[in-house]
Amino acid sequence: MEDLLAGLLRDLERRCVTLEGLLAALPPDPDTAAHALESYEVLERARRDAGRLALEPDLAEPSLSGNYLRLFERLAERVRLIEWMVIPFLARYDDADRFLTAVTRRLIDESRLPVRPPLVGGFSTQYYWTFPPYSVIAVPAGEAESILGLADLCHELGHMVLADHEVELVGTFPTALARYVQSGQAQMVADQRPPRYVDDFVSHFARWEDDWLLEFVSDMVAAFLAGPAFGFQHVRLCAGLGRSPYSPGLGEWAEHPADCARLEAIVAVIEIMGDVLGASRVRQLWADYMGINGEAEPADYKLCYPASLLQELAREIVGGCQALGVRTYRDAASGDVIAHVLRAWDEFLRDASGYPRYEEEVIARLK
Amino acid sequence: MSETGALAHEYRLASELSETLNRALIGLKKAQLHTAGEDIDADDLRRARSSVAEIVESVSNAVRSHEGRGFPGISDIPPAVTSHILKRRRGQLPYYLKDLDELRVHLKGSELLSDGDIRLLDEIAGLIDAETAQVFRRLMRK
Repeated sequence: MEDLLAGLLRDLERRCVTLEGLLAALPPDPDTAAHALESYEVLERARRDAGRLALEPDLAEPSLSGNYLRLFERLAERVRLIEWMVIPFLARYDDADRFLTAVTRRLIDESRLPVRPPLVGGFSTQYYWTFPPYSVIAVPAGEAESILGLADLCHELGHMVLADHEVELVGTFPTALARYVQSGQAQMVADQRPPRYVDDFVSHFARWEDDWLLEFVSDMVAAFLAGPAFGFQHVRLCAGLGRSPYSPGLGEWAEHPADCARLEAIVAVIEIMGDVLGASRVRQLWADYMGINGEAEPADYKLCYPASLLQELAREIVGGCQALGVRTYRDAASGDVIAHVLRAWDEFLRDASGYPRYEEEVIARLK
Repeated sequence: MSETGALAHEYRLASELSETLNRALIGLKKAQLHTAGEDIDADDLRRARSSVAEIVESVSNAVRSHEGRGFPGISDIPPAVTSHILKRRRGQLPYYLKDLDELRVHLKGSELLSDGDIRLLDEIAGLIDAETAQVFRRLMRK
């Protein structure tokens, strides 16, 4: 084991040197300089750690080798994250990326979001995604020429805020969630529901705790930032993806909560902020979509995504964003990025066929 | 909207926990074994014991919270780790929680840990490591 572990650690050291060489060869650029330096520092720390571990005299001690192997694994993951999640942004940083990065950084400044300025790259194969620890956001290749989808940037920024301010944003919601699950479970037992049904209910809410809460929170931060524009974009995205709007329900598994519940979460925030008209326009667009989609609400849907929980979370998020000093779309100045996105949506919904010319003009102005 | 942001969040918490616990465990085990004739720095050892004691307390709180015996809140312990413990220890949970409480007391003192203490810590570390690796694999599939 000692030879294997020492060999693996030496191999990792060499990988770090290779990647450091790639970073050092990049042309200097003020947009990417901070990310390149941070990546270099992470790699250098990993290289030194790997070198130190390789020299440990007790690497082969049976009671310790498992712990050393785990440390190697964490180091290797750290290096791979830089190689896979950050270096691609730095290596291809082109004009489209520069525009997307500038728009995003402007949006952050205007909204006073407490996040590090990210790098945004237009090369995603997974729609929008972010990796908050290294402050990068990937978007599909065409997004630099589109305004409507930019509302989804706010969801990714929500993940970034959440990474650093979970307690401020989520508040006491975990207690409310746990209370709902406990009382629901007790009621089901009292109603003599089959044990499988109770297990499905508990598993469903374990997903809330694991991943879905983070998605709901990021949606709600996005709704706070972009208001109806994010709601409209959610409808546009759902229509394009063709997922069942009520899935996952009880006994089903997915990495995201149901799209219909996400829509309700967005609307809850817009309503709490007093934008009655905005909330009703988002609801109407969703109703139009559901009218075409034709899918009926399953019997257990409200049990899986109770409105009371979503509203409680929405109150926490609005309060949390306000406490963090984040500016909502309602306070945006006319020239702000969010104001452009909101007007673009108004224009699209008013006259979809004339919209492309409008969008081209707005993008030219933003550039 | 991809789930990478949520996974990144999960991964960061799990990997930091895994690394902290493994580093501390190496220090504790070295002190037990006096391996390679090394003198373990007393301050390092105290810090290692203290950080492991905090992790053990978090595990204990997370298990109690899932069992409805404590105040729920945001936990440092990945929910999947808590679920594994609940499944694995089903039927002997009160004893397990008592073992964790005793382990925490031992860690806060200065006497050597027992083999049972070390086994318990290795089991927790193993579960956290497995969850970290699993989240990392999901993250990289995105």
